[in-house]
Amino acid sequence: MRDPLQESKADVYDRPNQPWVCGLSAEGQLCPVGPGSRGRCPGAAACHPIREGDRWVCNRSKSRGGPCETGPSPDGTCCQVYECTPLRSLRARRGRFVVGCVLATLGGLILLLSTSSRNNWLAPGELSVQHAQLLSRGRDTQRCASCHAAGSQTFVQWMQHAVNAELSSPSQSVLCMECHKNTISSNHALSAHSLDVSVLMASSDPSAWRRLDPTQDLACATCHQEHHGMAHDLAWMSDHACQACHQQQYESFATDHPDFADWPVARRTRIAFDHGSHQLKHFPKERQEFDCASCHVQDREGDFQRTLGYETTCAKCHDSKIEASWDAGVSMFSLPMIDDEVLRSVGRDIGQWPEQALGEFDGALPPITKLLLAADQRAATAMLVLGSDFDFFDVDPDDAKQLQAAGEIVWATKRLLYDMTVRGQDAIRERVETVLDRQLSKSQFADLTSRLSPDNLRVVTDSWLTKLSAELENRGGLGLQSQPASGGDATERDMALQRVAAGGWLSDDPTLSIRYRPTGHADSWMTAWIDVMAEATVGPHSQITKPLLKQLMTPTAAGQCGSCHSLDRQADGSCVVQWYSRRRSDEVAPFTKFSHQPHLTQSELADCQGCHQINALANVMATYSATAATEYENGFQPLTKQSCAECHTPGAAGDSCLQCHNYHVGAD
Amino acid sequence: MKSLVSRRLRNACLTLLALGLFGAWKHWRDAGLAATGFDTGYVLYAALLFLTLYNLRKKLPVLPWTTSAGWMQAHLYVGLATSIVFGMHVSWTVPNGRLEFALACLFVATFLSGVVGLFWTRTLPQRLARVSEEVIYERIPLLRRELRDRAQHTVLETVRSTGATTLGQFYSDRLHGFFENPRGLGYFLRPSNRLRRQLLAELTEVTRYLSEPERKTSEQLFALVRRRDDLDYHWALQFRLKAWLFLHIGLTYPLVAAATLHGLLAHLFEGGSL
Repeated sequence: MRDPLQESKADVYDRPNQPWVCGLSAEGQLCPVGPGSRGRCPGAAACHPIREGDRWVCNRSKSRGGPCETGPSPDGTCCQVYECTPLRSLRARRGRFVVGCVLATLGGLILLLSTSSRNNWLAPGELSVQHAQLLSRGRDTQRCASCHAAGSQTFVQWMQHAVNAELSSPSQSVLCMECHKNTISSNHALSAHSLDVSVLMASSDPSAWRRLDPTQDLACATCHQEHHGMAHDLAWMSDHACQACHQQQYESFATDHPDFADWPVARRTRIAFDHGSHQLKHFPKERQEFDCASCHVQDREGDFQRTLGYETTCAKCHDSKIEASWDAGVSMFSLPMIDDEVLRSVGRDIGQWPEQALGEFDGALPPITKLLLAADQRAATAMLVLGSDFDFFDVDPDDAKQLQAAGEIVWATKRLLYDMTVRGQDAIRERVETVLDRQLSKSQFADLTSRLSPDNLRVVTDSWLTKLSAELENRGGLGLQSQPASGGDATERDMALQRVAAGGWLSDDPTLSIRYRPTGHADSWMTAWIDVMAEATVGPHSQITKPLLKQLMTPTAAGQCGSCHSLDRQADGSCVVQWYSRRRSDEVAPFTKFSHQPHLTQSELADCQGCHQINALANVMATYSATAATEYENGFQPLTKQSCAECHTPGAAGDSCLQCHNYHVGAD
Repeated sequence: MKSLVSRRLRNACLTLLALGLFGAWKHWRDAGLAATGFDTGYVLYAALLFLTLYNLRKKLPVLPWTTSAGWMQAHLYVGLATSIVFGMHVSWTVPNGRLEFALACLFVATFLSGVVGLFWTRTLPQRLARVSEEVIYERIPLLRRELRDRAQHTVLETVRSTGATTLGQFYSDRLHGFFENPRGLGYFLRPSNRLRRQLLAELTEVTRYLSEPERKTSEQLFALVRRRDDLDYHWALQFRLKAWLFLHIGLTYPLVAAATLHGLLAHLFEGGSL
């Protein structure tokens, strides 16, 4: 049996919780008193001798070895005094170690906050590749200040944030918009889907329960989390994030996504084109193969199937008809037949009017002339009496009011001609600007005049109305040096048209008209005047311009523009002519996105009609007589969700929300 | 034993329940696009402060802050739970900012030192109990010195009385250093009885060359070698039980300091405000 490992030291008092321990503890001679609280050895004696008669006797306890052999000194002091260098206890050493760690940490942090590269140390990670260029800007502090107000502030200012809220501004979202204001509208950048709240709520049930109020603004950083490294996708959002606002829970595309309804087109095609009739009727008639790829090709990115231009796709069949429609040119001005005697009977003298244009009322003013007359207040009033789409043939000789209006229009026409011969193209600009109530752009002005020569105009008008200058001067107009010119006949008109076969201006004396021969499809003069008409369909002259636009856009009008180019009414009431088919630039970040490229690589989808099946029964063209673009009959069978859901599953092509939807609607 | 098992089961269930509720709440907040980094951050910071308070509780035993054992239990379970909260806070990824990475390293080191300490405090006492009687750590140097003196005294006495120097020579060559010097770092890291077995084998080998009185002395040396080895074993294991606290507490306060700065910066550089 072993002896006890621990020796009996009943009187030893261990004080491991004290900061100091006796330096003799390892020697086994530790004193019973122990060091003071400040680590000083008390120098205690082994005993306190007692006096017995005239002698001092040692009274050391038995546990410490009993009375010593040497005994007390003659003066009564103990001969054995414990003296040591006290040691720190383990606990005290641990305490000092901890304090050292804390001081080192605080020192390190203060040092870190004091250095010029402070922000580099504090940055919570690398920026994404889109924002990485910020790191190359200026000083370190300025780099962070691009996105954080605190980035350029001192530590003292940081502490003042608690009492001074001004130091926290501008917010990060405001700083984001400093750079992104050109791609996202600042007005709605923080709104859900970057849409106006009224638009957003109109598309959903406002009383529906949601975890997040969609009418409240969201900070950019709510979704766009930075400092996750160069490869981090800033635009990534989980499907659950979408469900923060969307009341309907989507577990998967196949089971929960609603049917497409009118996707991918929520409106009729901009170019009025009936795929069904062309496939079944027109192409076979012309013995052409109806091939989708002959008109639609992928754009450079491969996402969008753009429609090729008119020259490639339509000109072969339609050019001759368009040319024929303006064979005689398009009248800008023409003088109608005026019954001056009837007008004189109601006290309306029209002054000089060309002999060949005197007789019973007949003929109509060209729409462009009427538009220019609309800028003349008296003429505008007169046209409202006769109706803006009036024809002089319809003027009732027994109606004095109509006769007065007709007389006023005659004088207004003469004033217009006089104005144009005196001021030239500026007269056109001023009148159009009056109708539109805005300034014309330089290019628009050039298109509207199409290099119309005032000198030539003066020669022509002088030949028709030799006294125009004198008459208008008597009525308060400007002076005009006119030169009479000989009249022409039909043969001369043909010759004149031939002279401007590539497009240009000509006068036609028999009809007393000034005409323009368009250069061909998409002639800038024609489109500019139609655009002006369309724009002017809202505002004070709308009653006059609406019928004029309708007149120009009838399928049988010169150029036949209206037979293919649809006319859409916009939210402000004005119309816009769709000169182009659907283009990528027209659709800036719609809510739903789709890329054809990855789909066309699938053999079963390579044929366009695999998805886009033509609906031959649809009366596509019927809807183009109206101006509501969204009320239409689709020329294709609707796309079904099931056809997409076959591949778009979590394990295959994926079915996350952002795969097909943009969050920021309308952003570049 | 039954109460210990039921207590651990109850506390573990409570901890898991609290974590589950917190995780569900975070998921709910995440689904509402809330800045849950602040939620988890504040919970984690509060847990750190609570864990740090345990050291204060030990320094101020007079305060009526329930029992130290109760605090210890709470410290253990809250400490274990912080690892999950920390994972939620960093989204189970490694932070890539310098300060945040350092902070994460501090947390992981503190947590692991706590886990290691927990493991040692639960296993080392049992290993020590299997060795011999209880030894107070602070007295080990004294006991070691006494063993050395006893061994030297026994050997010298034998040499003096018999005149034989075989045992004395063996003691001088092989045992003097063993009794005189403390064990090396390798023994503290991985205590073993290899040296004891080696010395006892050598002592057994040399016994056949000893006289009868020397053999009796060698018997005492056998016992003293065992005692010294047991004492070293105590010293090594008890040192572990005390040394891990150097690391654990030494890391705790820097962790709290760095976490405070991190929280301040998170608010200063917050991107979620409008």
